[in-house]
Amino acid sequence: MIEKLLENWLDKTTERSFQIPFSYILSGEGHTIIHITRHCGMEMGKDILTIASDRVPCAYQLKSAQNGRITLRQWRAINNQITDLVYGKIVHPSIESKKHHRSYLVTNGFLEEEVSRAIDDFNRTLESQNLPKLEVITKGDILEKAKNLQANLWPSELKDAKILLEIFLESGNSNIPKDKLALLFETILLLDYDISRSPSKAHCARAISSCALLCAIATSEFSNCDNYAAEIEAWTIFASYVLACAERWSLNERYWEKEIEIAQRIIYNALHNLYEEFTKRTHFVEGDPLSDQPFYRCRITWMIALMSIFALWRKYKNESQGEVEEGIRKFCLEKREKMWLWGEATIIQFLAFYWYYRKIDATPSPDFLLRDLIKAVIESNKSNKEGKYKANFLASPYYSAEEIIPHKLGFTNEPLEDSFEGESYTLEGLMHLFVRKNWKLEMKFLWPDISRMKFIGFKSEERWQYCLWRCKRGTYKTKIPPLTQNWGELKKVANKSKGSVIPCIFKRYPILFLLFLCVCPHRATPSSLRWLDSQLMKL
Amino acid sequence: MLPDYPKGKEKFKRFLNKLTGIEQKAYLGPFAEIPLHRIFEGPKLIRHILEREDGSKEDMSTYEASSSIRIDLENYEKLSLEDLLNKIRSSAREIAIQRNKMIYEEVEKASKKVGNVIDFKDKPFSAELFLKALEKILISFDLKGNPILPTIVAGKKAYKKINEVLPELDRNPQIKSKFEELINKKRMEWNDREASRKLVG
Repeated sequence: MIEKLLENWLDKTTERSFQIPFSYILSGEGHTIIHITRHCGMEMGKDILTIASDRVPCAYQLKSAQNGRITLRQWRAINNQITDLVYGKIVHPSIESKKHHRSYLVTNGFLEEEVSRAIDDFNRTLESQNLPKLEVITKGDILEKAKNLQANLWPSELKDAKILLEIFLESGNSNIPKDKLALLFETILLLDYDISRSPSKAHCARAISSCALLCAIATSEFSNCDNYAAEIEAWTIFASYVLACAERWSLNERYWEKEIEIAQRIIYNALHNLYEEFTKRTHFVEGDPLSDQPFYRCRITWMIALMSIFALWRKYKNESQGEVEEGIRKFCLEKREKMWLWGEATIIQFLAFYWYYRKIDATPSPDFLLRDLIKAVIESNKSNKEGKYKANFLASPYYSAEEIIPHKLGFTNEPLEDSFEGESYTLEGLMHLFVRKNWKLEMKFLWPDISRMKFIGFKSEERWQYCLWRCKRGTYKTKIPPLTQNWGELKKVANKSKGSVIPCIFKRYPILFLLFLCVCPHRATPSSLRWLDSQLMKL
Repeated sequence: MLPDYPKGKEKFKRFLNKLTGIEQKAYLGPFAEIPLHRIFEGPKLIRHILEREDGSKEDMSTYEASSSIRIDLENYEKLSLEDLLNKIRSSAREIAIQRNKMIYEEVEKASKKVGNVIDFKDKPFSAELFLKALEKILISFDLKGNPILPTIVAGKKAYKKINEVLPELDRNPQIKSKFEELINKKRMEWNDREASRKLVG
């Protein structure tokens, strides 16, 4: 079944969606991935750049085959790109080798006979010029490489195979099914293993590479639809699960670092692509405008969060500030009035904007955003003495937009069997961030209402489990704040930033961690928010 | 593409369809009781033929009732949920008005064809004239033999007059007797028709 799925995926895939799994295949073969193209306007003839295990640079041009074959016509159409691929010198700071690179044409189909002949002729010319010949990797080769990547680690049980198929067949313009993806990763990355029989490090490493390939294939339809937000979520979940695996089995970074690097690259490219897309749009409606209205501000809020993260990441990478920064700044500041707090899941999205806002605005405005969020949470969820149903409740961060908005706006008949009255998952964390800014007087006014709320949280039994979408074991805590709170003591707690709940491995990647909290907003605990705040303030 | 929420939007679309139906019913008035039948084939029907029990055939006309909703994408942010719902309501009203007009036209056409038209000329509406009109139409009866009388659709002025006249069917002994005679006659016609539903030979 898995082989059939691989074949089916290869037949349907586009260049953009098969470059990611192909990158993981190369990584699994010992290549170091240097560059993966965003498929933007600049076509340089090289989609993937790597350094092979023998230290020779390699350049790959990916081409999807129409009707399963590269025809002579198609070959002629890409001739310029092939010339660029072979002759164009690789200029990249990571590549120092004076050796001429190896060139590969990669296709998800096969070559027509005439094309094979044309390539042979081309290679003879290259030989006469003492250049390495153009190698071709076809569908059969890719399938073989995928199988060699220990694809036998993939789900063989019917239940898991069913989940994989469900994700693979999901419509590419929908939201990523995070629960299903998480379940799949848990199986492949051996996170449901009994600790008394821990797997070998080599086995874990193969599982990680295999999982990456699976993630790429499972989400290929989302890539085909240019659903950048879904790609970001999928690869963030993948990264968090790999880090969970590394933490659990105490893996040395050589077993997982490359895969995390590639995942980060994919996420970064997706953010950049999203930025490019919105700069070209004259409006932000997606799909049918008649049914878009209830979700429009939801989208704006998520996009502001993603663009804020993109800007912070660029700062973290010391990328040049310029047109991109100006574009993000303009978008975020113009559209921030349209942000919508539809549920506690959006608190972290507002906080992503807050951390970016702090970088571009030195006035107290960013701090007052925190204050306003605190007020909004209290106002929405404070105890309702009249006992009447409140439509402006803030659902817990376990609920997604598609689950909650129909209830908030009243266009569903299904009852919501949950109550959010008098409690909050995010209020304590928000309060700590605000206290750090030393707004004592403001806090004095807020405290009476804060003291009427209950702080809710969940702590996983083991630290590595923090990275998971859902935990099987842990402690659910309800904390009632004291009626009288000493300011000094509150400040002491608010200034702690050890982030003891966060796996140490994850702390190497603060931006990835912020993305993880956006994708899994129920993990935005006070401890993790305080730690992240300290890290992002250093940028 | 930008992030989208297709499952949530699907729920909202179902809600909008339901709202459209409710709004149309409110404007259709008594015609809202006319059963609707969905035709799954098409979208372009070539012919729709009605064949009656007497073997006569008729080509049914098809009409389109439609309305368009204009949404300015460039200024989408100014569109509130209430604005959107008001557009849906206006559109539903427009469709209902078109449907009403079509129904009246069809009823007029069909009535004239079979001669089910009474021209009161300048005579004021009266109970006798009402009985004359009832004479022309098919009246069904329930299992207990009670007549299922028609719904009267009338304009404001006519409605007022009809409301004044109809109680006479009960109050005026002469009219009452004529009404009962008519109903009995219709009952017999009905019974005969029902009795003729048999397989013979």
